[in-house]
Amino acid sequence: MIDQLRTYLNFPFVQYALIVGVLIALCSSLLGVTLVLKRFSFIGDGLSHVAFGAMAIAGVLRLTNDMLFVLPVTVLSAVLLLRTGQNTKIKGDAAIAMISVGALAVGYLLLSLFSTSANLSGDVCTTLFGSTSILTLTQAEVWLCTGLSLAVVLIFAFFYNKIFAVTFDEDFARASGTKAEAYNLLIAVVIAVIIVLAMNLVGSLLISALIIFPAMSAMRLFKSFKSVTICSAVLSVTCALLGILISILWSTPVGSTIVAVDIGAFLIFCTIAKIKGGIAK
Amino acid sequence: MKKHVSRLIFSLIAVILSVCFLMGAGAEMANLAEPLVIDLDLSNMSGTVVYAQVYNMMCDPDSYLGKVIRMAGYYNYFDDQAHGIVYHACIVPDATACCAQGIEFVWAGEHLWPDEYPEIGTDIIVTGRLELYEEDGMKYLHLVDAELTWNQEIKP
Repeated sequence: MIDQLRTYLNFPFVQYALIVGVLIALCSSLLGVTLVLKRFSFIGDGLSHVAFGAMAIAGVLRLTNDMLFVLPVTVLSAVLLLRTGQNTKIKGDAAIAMISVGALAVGYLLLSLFSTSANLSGDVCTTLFGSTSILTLTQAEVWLCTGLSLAVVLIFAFFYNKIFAVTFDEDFARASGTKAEAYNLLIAVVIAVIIVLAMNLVGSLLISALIIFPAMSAMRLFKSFKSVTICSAVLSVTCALLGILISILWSTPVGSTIVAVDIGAFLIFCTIAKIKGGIAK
Repeated sequence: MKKHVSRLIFSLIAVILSVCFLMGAGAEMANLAEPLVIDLDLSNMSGTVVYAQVYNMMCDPDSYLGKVIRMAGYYNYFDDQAHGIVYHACIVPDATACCAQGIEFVWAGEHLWPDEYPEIGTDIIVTGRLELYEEDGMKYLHLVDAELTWNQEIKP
C-alpha cells in the first residue's frame, strides 16, 4: 500500500489535489468558527447553491473559465444575503433558504433546457458532490486556488482582532467604533470565495460540512476563540488530507470521503470531551 | 568455365536472396513476438486515480502520444451505422459512477465483431500505443495495435 501511495504521489494531478485540498480546508476552517458562532452555519449552503446556479449559467454560455463568472455572482449574492438578512421583511434564515433552493432549481432548469453536454446527470453529479473534480485540476486552476487561499488567510490574520470582536459581540464592537457592517461584508465576501474554491473539493452540497464540522469538533475540547480556530484549522487540514488519500487508495468519492472523515473526527472529539467531562466531575 | 561462373553468380544471388528473405521474415516474426513495453500501467491502480489519469490524457494528449498504455475497465462499443464503423472502448467510471472516461482501442489482428469480442460491460484489460487520429475534422485518441484480454468464462 505504501508503494502504491508513493506511485500515486508522483502524479501531478494528485499533488495538485493535495495542495488545493489542504488550502481549501485551511480557509474553510478559519472562517468556519466565525460562521458557527454568528449562527451563520447555513450561509455556506445557500451560497454554494448560488454557485451551482452560476456554474450552470456559465456552462450554458459556454464560458471557458467559469470561475470568472461564478466568483463575482457568488460574492454579489453573499452581499445581498447579508443585507437581506438585516431586512425585517425577509428574515435571514428565510432569505438563505429562498436563495439556496431558488438557485439550485434555476441552475438545474437551465442545464436541462440549454446544456449541450452529452452527460447532463454526470455534470450535475460532479458539481453537487465534487466527484473527482479535485483530481482533474489544471495548473492555472491550482495557481488561482493558491492565490485566493493565501488572500483569505492573510485577510483573516490581518483582521483577526476585528473579526473576533464582530463575531462575539457585534453591538459592543459597533459601540466601540468598529465598522461592524464593513467587517460583516468582508466575512461574506471571503466566505463566497471559499465556497467557490471548495466546490472543486467536495461539491456544492457538501461544502457546509467542510465549514461546520472542524469548528464544531474543536469546540468540544477548546473554549477560547484562538484555540478553537487553531484546532479547527489543524483538524480540517488533517481530515482533508486523510480523505483525499483514502479516496485515491480505495477508490471512494473524494468529497464524501473527506466529510466522512470529518464526521469521524467529530465523534472522536465528542467522546474525548465526554471522557474529560466525566473525569472532571 | 563461363557456365561455372554464371552458376556461381546465380548461387550467390540465391544465397543472398535467401538470407535477405530469412532476415526479413525473422524481423517480422520478431516484431510479432515482441511484447509491448508498457510505459504507463493503469491496470493495477485505483478507479479514482485511473479516472483522473484518463481525464488528463484526454486534456493533454501530447504528453502521452506514442506511449504504450495498459488499462483496465469495462468493454463498450459504438456502432456507427452511417459510416459502417464499430468503435470499441475501454470505459473507466469515477467513484460516484455518474461520470465515465473511456479510451477507444483497435484490437491488433483480424477479429470478427461481435462474435470474437466480449459482451458489453465485461471487465477487460487493454494494452496499446496511444495515437491521435482525425475524422470529419475532429481529433480523437485511440490505442492502436492493442492487446485485449478478458475472462471469457465470466459473462456480465
